[in-house]
Amino acid sequence: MKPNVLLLIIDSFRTDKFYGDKNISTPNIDYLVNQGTYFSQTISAADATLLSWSSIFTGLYPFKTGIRSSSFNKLNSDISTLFKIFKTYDYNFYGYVPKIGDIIGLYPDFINDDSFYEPYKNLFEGNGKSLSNKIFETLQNEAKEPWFFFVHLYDLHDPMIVPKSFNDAKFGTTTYEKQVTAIDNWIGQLTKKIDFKNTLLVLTADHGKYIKTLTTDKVHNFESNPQIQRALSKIGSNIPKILNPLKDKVFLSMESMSQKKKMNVIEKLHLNEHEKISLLSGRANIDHYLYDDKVRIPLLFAGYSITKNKIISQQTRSIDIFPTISEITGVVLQDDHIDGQSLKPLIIDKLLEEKPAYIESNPLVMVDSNDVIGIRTSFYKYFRDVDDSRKRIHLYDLKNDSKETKNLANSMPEIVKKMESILQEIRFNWNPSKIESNNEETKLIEDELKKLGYM
Amino acid sequence: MDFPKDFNIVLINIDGFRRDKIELCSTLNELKEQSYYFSNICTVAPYTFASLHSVFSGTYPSKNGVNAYYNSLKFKKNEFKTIPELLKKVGYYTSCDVISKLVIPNIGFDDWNVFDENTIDFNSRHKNMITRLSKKDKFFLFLHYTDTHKHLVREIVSKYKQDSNDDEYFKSQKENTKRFDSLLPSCDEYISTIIQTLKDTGIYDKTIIIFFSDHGTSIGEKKGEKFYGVYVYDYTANVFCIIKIPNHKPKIIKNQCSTIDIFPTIAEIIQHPLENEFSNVQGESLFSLIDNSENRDVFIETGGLYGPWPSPKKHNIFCIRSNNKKLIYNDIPESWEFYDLLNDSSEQENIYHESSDEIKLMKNKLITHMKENNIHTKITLN
Repeated sequence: MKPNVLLLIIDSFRTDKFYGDKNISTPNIDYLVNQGTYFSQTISAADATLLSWSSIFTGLYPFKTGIRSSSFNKLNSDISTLFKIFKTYDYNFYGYVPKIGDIIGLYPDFINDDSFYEPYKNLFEGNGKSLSNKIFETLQNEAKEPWFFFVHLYDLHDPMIVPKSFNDAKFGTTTYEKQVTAIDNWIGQLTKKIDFKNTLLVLTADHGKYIKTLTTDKVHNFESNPQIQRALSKIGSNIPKILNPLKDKVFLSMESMSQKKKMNVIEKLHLNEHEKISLLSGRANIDHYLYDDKVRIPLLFAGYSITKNKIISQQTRSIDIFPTISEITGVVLQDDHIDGQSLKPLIIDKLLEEKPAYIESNPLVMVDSNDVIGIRTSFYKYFRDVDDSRKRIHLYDLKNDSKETKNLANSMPEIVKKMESILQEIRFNWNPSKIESNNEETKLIEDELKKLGYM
Repeated sequence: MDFPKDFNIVLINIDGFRRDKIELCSTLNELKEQSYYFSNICTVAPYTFASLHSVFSGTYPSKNGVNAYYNSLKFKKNEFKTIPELLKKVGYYTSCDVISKLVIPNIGFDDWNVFDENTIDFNSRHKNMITRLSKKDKFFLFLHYTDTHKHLVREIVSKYKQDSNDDEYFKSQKENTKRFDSLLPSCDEYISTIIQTLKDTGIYDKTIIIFFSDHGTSIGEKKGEKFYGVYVYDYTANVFCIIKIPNHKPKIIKNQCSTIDIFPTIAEIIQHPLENEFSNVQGESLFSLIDNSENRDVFIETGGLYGPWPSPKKHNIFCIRSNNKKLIYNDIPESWEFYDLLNDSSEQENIYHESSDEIKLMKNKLITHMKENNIHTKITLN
């Protein structure tokens, strides 16, 4: 019998708030780290949910999957996903996924019929059963083994509504920190319900998040009011489709007004570019960046056959998650075109080459955004305009400037050149037909088939 | 069993030769009566590219990577070794002559030749090759005889439309049989030339000769398949294998087996254990069937270039043949077929039934095989 797998993706969970932040008490996460193997430098291939999902569940860079957030395209049908492959090993799929996951062709028919939940729903909310209760009940009562249980939680995504019992300064300075404490508490409840002997627990995030709070001599909070955000979102979703252009216009103008107000305050604080971008971040911002706030995610494996109390600081990638789960569970991957690599060697104390992480920002839906693509290694972060390698170039020395405050692009042209060549190799020397076979090979085979009279 | 040491090995594939036509070829039939004749051997893939990669590696297509027409260059050479690699290791000079660089892995050969089907004279070309090789201490030669393919495929393609709904071909079984049979005399003459050349060059008595076919050929039995590779029915799955070893008594072996068993058979002939880099071979030597009644389950897979559900980039039809029964799973369109081959050798009556214990057992075997060979399909174990 194959082990069960519980994959928990917590939307917008930053690595620095997941483990090791002395300001937040997360005893349950700490316990899991103690019971498992924790990767402290995992990089998501994208800074938003859809693109990140597309790479986590295929092991491919997002641009190869067909899912492009800008137009909500579906996954290319010929791509093998984790679900397609695990199905051949008789896995039973259960899931709780935000509704947007229903339209991209990535997810299987989950056995539980309440699998796609309304966006922005939090763990403890709900008329009748809360999402939390549903997850626990499905896990304990219904799941037929071997199961693959996928849960995607929205609790750290804006609008963030902290449960009353955790909305207290003793749980953290920011809303985000308080919410992390609440989630940690829930993880503690979840942990008690898992048979770790037969279950592989994978805990990660789809991407990180900017925390819009700055502490100087006082705390500057730039977060929007979540209740107002939630109410506006509800009103928006009830507006007839025909009025969408008008709705978008109103939304953009409200965002613009709010940004101007924030800017007036921020300009007096003498901040670096990264700090300004963090505080001003919003869904309507057209200039996108790829700071670690948005792409560095926690990755934890615990339970079935996982080495305990191991922390690995080597850089790993979200595209490595699928091959790693496969290898640990003994599911064989046939597709040798997967970009990710299994991290199992690191878990069992073997060496594994550290690979550069390709990263890309998520295009906006309503307006054209200025997107960036880049490469991250343990030493440097590089990103630049998606269409022009000469524009918006950013280079950060991560060893000496982990907060990414000094853009070294002008002073280190050789490193820029080197990072750009890695980016070129991954993004532009890729031919879509390589997923099945490269063009040259296909042509050769077709020529032979013609020669033999078959075509 | 005693095998002569350091004999030459000549392995000849008669492309697309139907097992039921052996008796119509006097030389082949005569050779059969002087040899070990495996009368119930099946191919593991009923088209040349996948079939021959399986023969050469002793592995199933989905295991070795060549599991589709378009995967013909995807042989996993780092994981699986081939017959010429084994023989070269023990001092054989290795040579071949093939129709296309796609049909076998180009690995382990000292001398690699690809002929032009349009201009080749098989008799003289292969006679010259054997004559040249006869001066070697010991050699392995693989010859690919495709004259049947050349005439058949081209005549049929030029006469009938490629459309699988075209009934005319399937209504003309008599004409199709006649066409196939008309090609047999030149095939038999070729076999005769090979035997005579081995005798003329003085190496007949120190050469092991293996004739086999890689797959059969349709004469219109099932609508949708004009040649082979589309389905896994017996008219393409049944093949033959004749092994002539000097001073060995002839014998007919009726046990069911498959073409992936040829590699381990050759390994047994040269007394080389299949270990270390050769340990991934999935077949078993055919000689162990000689004195027992074991019937090996055979798994067959294919994906057609044409037909009702073509799948040239991925195999989509899988089958197990066991105890004179055949269970077929068509991944497109997710359908099952089950035939009792003893009472229905032409596989006309699909008697598949979900609740049959016998079918369940075979289904479990098929699914287990698929998992072991990394085949991903829509079916799951009950």
